[in-house]
Amino acid sequence: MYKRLTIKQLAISVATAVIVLLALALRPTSAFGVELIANSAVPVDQISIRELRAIYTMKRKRWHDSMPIAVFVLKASNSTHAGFCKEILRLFPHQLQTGWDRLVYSGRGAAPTEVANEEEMLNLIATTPGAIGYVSELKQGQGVKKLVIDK
Amino acid sequence: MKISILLDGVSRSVFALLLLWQPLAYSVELAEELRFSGFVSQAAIHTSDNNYFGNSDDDVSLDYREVGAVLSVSVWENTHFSTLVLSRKAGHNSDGSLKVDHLLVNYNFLNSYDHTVGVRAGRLKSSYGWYNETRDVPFTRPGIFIAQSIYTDRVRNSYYFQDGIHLRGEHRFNLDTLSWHLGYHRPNVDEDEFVDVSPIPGIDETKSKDSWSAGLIYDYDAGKFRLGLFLEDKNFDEIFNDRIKFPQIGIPGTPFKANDLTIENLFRNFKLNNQRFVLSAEYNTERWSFVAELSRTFVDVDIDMNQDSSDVFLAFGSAEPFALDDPDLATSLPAEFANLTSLNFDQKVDSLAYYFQTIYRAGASWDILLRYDVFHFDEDKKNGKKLAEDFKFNFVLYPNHAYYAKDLTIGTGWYINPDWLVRFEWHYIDGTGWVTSADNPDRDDSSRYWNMIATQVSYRF
Repeated sequence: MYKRLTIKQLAISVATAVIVLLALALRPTSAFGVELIANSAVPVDQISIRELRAIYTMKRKRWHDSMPIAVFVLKASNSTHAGFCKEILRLFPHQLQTGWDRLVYSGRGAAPTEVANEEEMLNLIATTPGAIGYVSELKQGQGVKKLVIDK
Repeated sequence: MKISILLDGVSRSVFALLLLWQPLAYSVELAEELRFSGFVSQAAIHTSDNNYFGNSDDDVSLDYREVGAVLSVSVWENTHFSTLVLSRKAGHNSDGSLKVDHLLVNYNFLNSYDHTVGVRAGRLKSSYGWYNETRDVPFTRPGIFIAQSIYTDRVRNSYYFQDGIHLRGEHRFNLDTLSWHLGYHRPNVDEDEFVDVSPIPGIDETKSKDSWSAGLIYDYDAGKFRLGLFLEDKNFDEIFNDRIKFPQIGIPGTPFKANDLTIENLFRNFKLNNQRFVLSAEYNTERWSFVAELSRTFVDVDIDMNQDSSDVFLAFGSAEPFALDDPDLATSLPAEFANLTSLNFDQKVDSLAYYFQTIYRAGASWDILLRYDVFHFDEDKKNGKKLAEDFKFNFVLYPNHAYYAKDLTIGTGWYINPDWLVRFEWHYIDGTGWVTSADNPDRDDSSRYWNMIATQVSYRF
């Protein structure tokens, strides 16, 4: 009912066409300002990228004094989230999302708590002991402190 | 068996409760450590020939939908419970009834900064390849369907679900992570699937036996590069009913033609051993993902002959009862049956499956999938060409193209927002190796070359 093509020929020609088109569509991404914040009761002021990654991939569950870590994120479509992933964690947003989905749907663990916007992020971090999150810019905030990243 | 019925009952109640919350339409955090989320998907599938997930041949099948909800709770620091209940409708293979997809507890007895070692026990999904554990969750798949060569739905219910225990560990170094598991389990059995894939008709009952699995994954930089090796050893006993007919083709090389022979009490049972190894690799950049997986499956069917039955000798036309390993058998049989003495009743199958997959993310909201996926039922007999000669005692023999499949897939996905996903894909397929007999009861009548277009809408909450 359809013309019989050699499937290998078809595969090669389609792959070539797609790669060429997509290579043309590549474009650089712009930078965002992101600040890492935590509840003021969190017992650290500095954090390494390695520790931060362990926290955001849900592998570390407690601060040094055994206070549970509460991890907050903005929605995947939020540009501050993309900036946080790429510039602070040095991971791609899809990498984090895939990892969280694997944890949740294989029954191994939980994903971070997603918040609707930066205002909610600030409120929740101020009121949740052990909370960590990020905003595009930290103005004077009650109960929230900025975390410095160890380079 | 009783326990699983009880679990099904419990999960149904839990699911009914969860559905009451669904109108809230977002992930509900019921308490600090109690989590609930889920997904709904609906697909439309059209094929030029052969049915896939419903009556799609020259028609549109809407018989592919998934509704699932996962509830998890961390009770103590090192203990995490999780259950996923799933209603999956997929053509004539899955009827949409509520099932416990997983119900398990994770307990970590070592949890340091760099090392985690623990157990997970309960109803688990087989931990092989990159996608099996989350195979029914639309947002975790690169397309509407995952590569059917390796993740075939033909034996889905029996080969991917199991009750058992896994010892597992994760060791984190600077950018490298090594994780592993060792598993002991009993696979669940879906009787219909064994009847479908068995080369010999007449299976009355299939029982799962002690089975094992192991896996090792190396991960560099939180998933930028991953390499995995997975091993599985599954065992089943197949018990045959008293009367076996030779449908379809009779016995090649003998005077027996289709449907003209019935043998009673020939077989007692088969021991089916299925060993599989899967090698998986993945490389991710911001915009591109490259995935390749290879699977070899060795199936060994050890047949326990019932050599005492007088029905056997009557069927073969011998004057005296005989043992099939009797050296004098050839001389005691009529000439046209002489070659029956060389019948090889033990069957070995060596399946090969592999695919290459590229995903391009053209932005946060859409992606493109390109995949070439190959499956050979028996690697030594590529394209099914020599199957008829070598399977001397293969009672059910289909056209050559029923023993392989090559699938070229092009697809695209669009995230309307992070919670809504629409996918569209086109498959050009040579062979019907992984289509199910439930959807295609007349496998003899299948078409070698076929096209499939499909679209799917998924929502997560």
